[in-house]
Amino acid sequence: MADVFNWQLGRKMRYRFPEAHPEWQFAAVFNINRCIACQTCSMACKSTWTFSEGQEYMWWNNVETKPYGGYPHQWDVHLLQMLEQVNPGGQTWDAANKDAKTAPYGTYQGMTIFEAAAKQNAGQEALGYLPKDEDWTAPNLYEDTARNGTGDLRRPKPVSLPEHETWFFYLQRICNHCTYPACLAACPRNAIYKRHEDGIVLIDQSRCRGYRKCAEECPYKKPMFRTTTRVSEKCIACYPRIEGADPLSDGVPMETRCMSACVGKIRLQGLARLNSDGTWAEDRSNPLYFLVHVERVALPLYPQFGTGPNVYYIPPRWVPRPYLRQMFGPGVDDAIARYELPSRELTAVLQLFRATRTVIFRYEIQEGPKVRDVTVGGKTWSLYNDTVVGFDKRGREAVRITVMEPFYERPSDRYINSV
Amino acid sequence: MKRLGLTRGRRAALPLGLLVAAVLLAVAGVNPVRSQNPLLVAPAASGKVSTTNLYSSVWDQAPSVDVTLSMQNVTNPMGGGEVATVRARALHDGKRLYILLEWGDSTRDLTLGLTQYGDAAAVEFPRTPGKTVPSFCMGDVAPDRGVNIWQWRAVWQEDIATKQASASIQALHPDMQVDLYPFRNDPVYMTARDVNNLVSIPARTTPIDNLVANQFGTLTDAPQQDVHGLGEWRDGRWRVLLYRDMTQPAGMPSLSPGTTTNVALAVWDGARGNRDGMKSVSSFLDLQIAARTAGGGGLHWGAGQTLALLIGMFGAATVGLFVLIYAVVRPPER
Ligand code: SF4
Ligand code: SF4
Ligand code: SF4
Repeated sequence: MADVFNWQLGRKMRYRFPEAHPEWQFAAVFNINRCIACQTCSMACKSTWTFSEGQEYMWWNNVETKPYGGYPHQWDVHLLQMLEQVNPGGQTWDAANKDAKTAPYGTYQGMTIFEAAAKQNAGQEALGYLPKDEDWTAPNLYEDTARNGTGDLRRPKPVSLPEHETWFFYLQRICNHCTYPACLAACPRNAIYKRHEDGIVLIDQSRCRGYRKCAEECPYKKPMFRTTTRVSEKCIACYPRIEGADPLSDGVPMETRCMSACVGKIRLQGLARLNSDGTWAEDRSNPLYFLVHVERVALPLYPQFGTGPNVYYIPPRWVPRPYLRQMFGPGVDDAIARYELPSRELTAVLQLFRATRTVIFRYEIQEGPKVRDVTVGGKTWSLYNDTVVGFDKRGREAVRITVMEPFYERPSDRYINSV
Repeated sequence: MKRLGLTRGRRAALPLGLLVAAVLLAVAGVNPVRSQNPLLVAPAASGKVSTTNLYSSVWDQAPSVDVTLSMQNVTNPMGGGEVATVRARALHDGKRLYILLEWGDSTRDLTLGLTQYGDAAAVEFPRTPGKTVPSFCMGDVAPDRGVNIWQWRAVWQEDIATKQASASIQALHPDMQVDLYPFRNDPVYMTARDVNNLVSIPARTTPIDNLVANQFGTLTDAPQQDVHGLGEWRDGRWRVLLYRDMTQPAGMPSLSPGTTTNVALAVWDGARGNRDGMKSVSSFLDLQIAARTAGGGGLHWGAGQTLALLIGMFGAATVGLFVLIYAVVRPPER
């Protein structure tokens, strides 16, 4: 048992292994505000990795409808409730106790799943539960099966919950390739490892003996047991693409299947360089560093679990704040404020989402003319048509895009039939 | 106050005394550590040991030991303890060692579903028998202090019985919707099978995995899968036979008639969620591979032998004790 530093919580916490951080960390930003739940990402993953027997229920990428949906059903509220039972009323933050590098969201005063497991002393490394078979039915519950309650597994209960009348949003989920993976800590056979080169967390398919402790203790429920091979599998972060080994990648890191397929252009994925204490090394022109550490518009999902998840979310603007604070921590209000009235630089960087499938390691902004001033909430906000240029790992230009969509007006007298 | 301590003379005499006592005890065939353990004797079987009939009368020759099991509470994941005892018997035929385990289990758990686990049982031996007694908790880190584990799994037994090795989710939940399975027979998409994971092999020939470990978290397939056996569930009891050739390649524990080693036992009840460390487990027993007598009838241990051994032990212990007393109470030289 070791004491490790978790910057997302602004403090040290207990973990099975001492700190040993990778050189680079796989990370992504998902802009919840833009997702249309088309599930193209889910299909991109499934049609690449999980279409075989024994993987039927596996959606390494899933998009669920909050607040009532979840895959597996109620994965998050179930665990939140367990945490609450171990440490009643204790899951609070000291949001004032902040530091830009080591405690950007404040200091978490509650218990992580690792600490709760130690308190509970029930033989687990991380507090967790194994979902039931029926929890894996209906991947987008309350979106794809909004009503009906026959007790039939395909139309699962509970069905008496209210429909989404006032607000809802889509939550896109993949494995978080956590800094302190609970799956890895849970594995009694040490079959799970985190790669030094990119922080990707993998289950060694030759070592796993199918104990399902990872499936039980991963808070995000991303390792899944495969009945045909009798071992567990999980999202592999499309590692051949991250390695630049995919034939299409031109030898440089390329975004994963679920990222590059995203129709709503909500996703941007890359690699963050780490310091030896697991904090992100200063990398001002890396778009992920800018979004997570400079603008802080993107926040980790349930940071209080303590695993240090590496997918960061731009929270949905319209959702009640207490709900969002529980889900993304106390950074929510600032993040939404910065997203609603984005800085000139943020406006440009947001254009990089899905502009290329090549991983962008550095961006540059070339200033363009002011387009217009608008008044938002009594404040004046100026829009500029800047150009943002993204560069690949070797420093080659990978993409160039302007804030304003290029606009051409066809002369109406020449194309009468509109063709 | 007088400082407690030994003078140089006594310091020299103490190890000598211990050594003499130890040598004499060893000559007398008594191992003071092992004498604490329950003893499982594997007599030499007269007649063939059936590998198909677990209820054969050949097992009447083997004395049975009811071994107490307890919950594994040394390392995470902790659990088990639901199976209180396992009955163990052992036999050998000069070539192979046979172990027969029996325990009560009201459910026969043969399926690996998402939340279903199978029943299982295992026996564990030191990898260097007679030389070291490693921790019964998966052995120790030192290379010669590892353990060899034979694990029988009910699911593997069922694979062999049904000649198939997989249950798709659709087979477990026939109502679920599946359009098609592309590349159905392409091994690339059965990853664990493609990298020869022992738990994923489709055509199983033995229900028993041969494994090695050097401490928790290190369990690994042994290079050779040469442990065989059979498990049968009857009237709320499992009876499981595990057997292997006693002569083993370097690095694996070789046994022979007349030697003693250790064996620890473990049982998993799938219905209770038992898997991995969540098991009912014993500590090490002594396992004596009895010498084969001329008539091939097994070990004969009579009153004469017992008396001779007792006299030998008593004599040796007395000599050792005298040397010890001399070392401790002799007046210090000034
Ligand atoms: S492809 Fe993009 S927009 Fe569509 S569901 Fe996935 S994340 Fe949302
Ligand atoms: S999300 Fe779960 S499976 Fe993925 S690294 Fe974190 S703990 Fe492991
Ligand atoms: S990163 Fe790759 S493996 Fe992981 S969910 Fe996305 S497509 Fe699937």
